[in-house]
Amino acid sequence: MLANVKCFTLNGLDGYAVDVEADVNNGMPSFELVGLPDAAVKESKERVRSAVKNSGNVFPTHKITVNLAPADLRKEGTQFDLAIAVCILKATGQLYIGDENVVFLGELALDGKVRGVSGMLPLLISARDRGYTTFFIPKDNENEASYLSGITVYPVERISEIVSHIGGENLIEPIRPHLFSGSSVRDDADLSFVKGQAVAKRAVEIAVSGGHNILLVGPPGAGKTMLARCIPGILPDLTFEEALEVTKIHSVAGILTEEGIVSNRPFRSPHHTATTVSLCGGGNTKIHPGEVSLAHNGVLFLDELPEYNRSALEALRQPLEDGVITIARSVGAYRYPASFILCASMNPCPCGNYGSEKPCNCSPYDIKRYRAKISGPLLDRIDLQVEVDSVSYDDLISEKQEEPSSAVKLRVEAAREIQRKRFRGKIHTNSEMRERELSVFCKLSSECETILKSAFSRLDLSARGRARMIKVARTIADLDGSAEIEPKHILEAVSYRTFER
Amino acid sequence: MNYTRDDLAVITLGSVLVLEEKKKWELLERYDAPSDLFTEDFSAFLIRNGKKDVYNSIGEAFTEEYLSALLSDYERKGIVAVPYTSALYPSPLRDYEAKPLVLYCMGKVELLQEPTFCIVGSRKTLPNILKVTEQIAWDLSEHFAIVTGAAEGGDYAATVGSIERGKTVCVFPCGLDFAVKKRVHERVRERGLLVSPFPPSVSTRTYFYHIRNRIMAGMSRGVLVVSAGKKSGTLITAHCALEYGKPVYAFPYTIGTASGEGANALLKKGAYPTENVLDILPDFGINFERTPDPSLTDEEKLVLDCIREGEEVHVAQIGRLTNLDASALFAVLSALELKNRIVKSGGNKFRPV
Repeated sequence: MLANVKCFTLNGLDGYAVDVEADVNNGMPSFELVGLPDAAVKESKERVRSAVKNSGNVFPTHKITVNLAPADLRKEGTQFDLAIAVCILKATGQLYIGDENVVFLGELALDGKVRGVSGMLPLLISARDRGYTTFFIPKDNENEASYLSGITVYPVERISEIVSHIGGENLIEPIRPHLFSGSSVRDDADLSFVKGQAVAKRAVEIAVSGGHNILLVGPPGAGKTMLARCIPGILPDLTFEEALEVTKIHSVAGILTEEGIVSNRPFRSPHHTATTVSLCGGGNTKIHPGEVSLAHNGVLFLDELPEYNRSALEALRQPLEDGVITIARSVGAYRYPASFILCASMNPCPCGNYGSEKPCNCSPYDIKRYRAKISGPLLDRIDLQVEVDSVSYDDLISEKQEEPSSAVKLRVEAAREIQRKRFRGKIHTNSEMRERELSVFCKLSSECETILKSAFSRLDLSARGRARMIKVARTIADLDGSAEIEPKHILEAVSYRTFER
Repeated sequence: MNYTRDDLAVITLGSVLVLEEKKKWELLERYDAPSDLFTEDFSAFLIRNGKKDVYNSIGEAFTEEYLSALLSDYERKGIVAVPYTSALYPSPLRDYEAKPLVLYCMGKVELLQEPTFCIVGSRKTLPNILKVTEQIAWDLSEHFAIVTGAAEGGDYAATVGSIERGKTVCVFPCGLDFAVKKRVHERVRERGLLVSPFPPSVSTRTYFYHIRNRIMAGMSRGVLVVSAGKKSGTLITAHCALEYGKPVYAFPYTIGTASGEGANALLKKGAYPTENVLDILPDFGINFERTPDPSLTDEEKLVLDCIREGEEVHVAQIGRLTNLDASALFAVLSALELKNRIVKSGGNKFRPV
């Protein structure tokens, strides 16, 4: 007997429909799986055999052929187990499903339990976009699916539940859609705990408002990391669409939490031993998203920037500019979004004390060599470069009330609102402006041009550096509530680009 | 470049690496004219002196093949050798005993004929002093070619300040093969002049600095020391200048500033205290008219006064004293920096220029 059911597989973040076909014939008992399965899919033969048997059904002692169509598309992941099992049950008449467009996703345990799979959200979203509406998925992935509307999703724990549900007994309750409630809990990094640091705080506020990249330079223990950890707290809350984008990536990477959706802006801080592949994404058989993609819509924090592998850092240049990364391997080219705020920190010199109260015993050559570890093109892409002061003991114990994150967040949200209205959906922040938007929204008076010109020759800026400086000035004007970029905004933008090389 | 026979003999002798400069001078004293070296029979010479290898190789050098190979090598590298017998040799140097046999040059050789002024400073020079140095080098370069070393810090500022007028002479303590490592020196090669008293293929040694410093003092009309620590090498240049009876100028420093102790010591010994170009040019009979400073707004004046009051002031303190909010203050500071009135000195601190 012949039967088929639907399943889905992922190529990057996009899902493709896969027809699972099973043919059960008389002949020498065997179980063949064809249709370009990878290792994990091939192994599903054994899982399906045991799971079907141990869930109270009969595994046929016939010649079984299972085909995964289209046969030229490489199949990855373990989500085919459930579909294959259901298809065999259907082919042997143990299960009757009239609707061929029901999608089954899930991995099987040997005892007939259904296990969760990674990438559930992007699978469901692309299936929904292709018009599929009914799904059976593992109960483990229940939360992830609950934020999607317009589809019927049945969470299952065992194969036997599907059999009885379709047979009309013990109906499974479909998942009730949750409403996205925005950000939940915050950790305890708050700007009110950062004492002093007027320059750095202001720069962080600008960076967050316009989505600009920022470099914090300061002596050890000055609070660079603490400042960076405050950034998610002043970023505006994720919108539902943004949250779905982020969740898709995290789901593919298999790092989704119980909650099922990423509701806080991601803050990724890979250690400086990170490799190019771990930062950008890649892998042998399955192309995993890298840290740049996991930080999408959030912050990528690189602590101690000069310690990173040079080639790993240089690989950041293209995603920093484009907001997406295309990873090409022999198995195909995958595109992951990678639009993030880069926040980096470093010491001003090898001993760390240059510019602080403590004596610095580095020679000018040492300092130059240390700073040259950050290449010019990369530094060019970091719009704001500020120094973080070493904190004196008096500052630490001072009772002076510092502004809390919530107050800063209000200003950031106001500035973002101005940007949202200006760009009307196409892009979100000033940092994403291209030449066309720059020429429309960032008209400069002759006075501003003069300032920019003198800064240009003084700071040895590239054309990109100039454009980035104008974008920062635009953000400063937005924070100021000013429609035009005034000289003072340009001047302030210039003051954040003074990290000497 | 047209060389006389004497010039060629000196260039050849200069290129011989096995003999010290002092010995070369002794050798030259034996003859009426340097060109006599071409006719000397060095194989007989070695019997009289007994140093076989050394004079053998000198003998090998004084052949036409060696000479033409040498000159084409220099030409390929863009090096012009100026022997002391040449008319191009800087006239102030001629009278000194320890003058170099040959000056190896890259760039505008005619700068050697101009009146020159030497600006030197130590590697560790405060950022605001660097700015002042740039300014003074620019002002002086209108009337003098600026002679300076090739190090970081003060020398670098003097180079950057004067190169726009194309009147920079950088003197290296190593052969010119090793000279151009920085972008700024590429520019000097194109627009100014690179000089070394050592043959191109010689890499630097500690005592070369001393020789270099002496030459810088010797070829200049005066020396300005912009910064010098207690034991700074810059002081050698200043002392040589004093020895030669040339005026020495120095920036005065606050008590306790490590990078200025040597400069203050020079002042005590009779160097002329100097703040700007007006303290130097009248001594050479030159009138100088300062272009007026760009005008400042009230806020800028307020902030500038505040920074001038303290020597090095932190942003937070400026904010406290002027009551400007952060964003306005950064704009003002940035404007002052672009107008060259203050300079950032690390750790969000500012110094007046």
